[in-house]
Amino acid sequence: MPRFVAGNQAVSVTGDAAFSLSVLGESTLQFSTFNFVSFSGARHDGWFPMEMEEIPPPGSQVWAHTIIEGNYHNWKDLEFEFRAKTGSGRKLLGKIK
Amino acid sequence: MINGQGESDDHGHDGDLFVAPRNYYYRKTTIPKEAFNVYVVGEDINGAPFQRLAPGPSPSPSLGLGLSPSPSPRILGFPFSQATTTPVSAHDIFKGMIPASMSISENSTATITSTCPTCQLTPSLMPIYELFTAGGVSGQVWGRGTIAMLRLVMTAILMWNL
Repeated sequence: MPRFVAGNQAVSVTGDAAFSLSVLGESTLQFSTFNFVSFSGARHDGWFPMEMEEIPPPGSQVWAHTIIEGNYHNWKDLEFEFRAKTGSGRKLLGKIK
Repeated sequence: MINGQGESDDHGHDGDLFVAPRNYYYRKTTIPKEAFNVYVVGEDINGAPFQRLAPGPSPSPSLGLGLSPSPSPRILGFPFSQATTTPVSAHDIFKGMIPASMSISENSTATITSTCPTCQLTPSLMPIYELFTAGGVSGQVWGRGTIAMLRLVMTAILMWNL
């Protein structure tokens, strides 16, 4: 497939067999880390990623830690979103404010 | 939101002021009630919009947040027709197995209830519970999940290959 240019892309599929489509790319911007964190530690306390069993039930409030690599315009403009893993359109479940 | 560029009153052991990298972000949020991915959207240095997906397995309420494959309670202590068996959680996230011990006869059913404080199972997710013997998996049953509770109905005939 030719190199993509910025903008919307379209793919045409011929036939009725099962298929998958993968789109890969390289970027200088990377969402490198996401963790739910809690404040812990004794003498050198700080924010640490929660183990699976430490994470509270859905609907609970918790702190999240993210790392973005690369050059972006303004950190105040960044928005973090939860989106559904399944279903069309990847429904927006909430924002991380 | 707290950006890593902010100051901290926490001094390291050598007296230096701790300052987190400016690309670190700390935000308070509410854990969604269904399986999710995490995205960031913004503008790059040229003002062009971008969107990125968080790497790795996303925290998923259905999987106890972040685990793959789905953890399952295991039922130990065969043969069911003769002995008392003990439900055991394979990943220590299923709590309060009821009953703590039980026996079951051929062609009968039994119900095990457990809580899962970190789980949320949706109707579309039908976890498979594996029934273990000392020699390995002896059969499988399918369970239904609801929020914070698992209900497992097992049929003795599935285990009759012992």
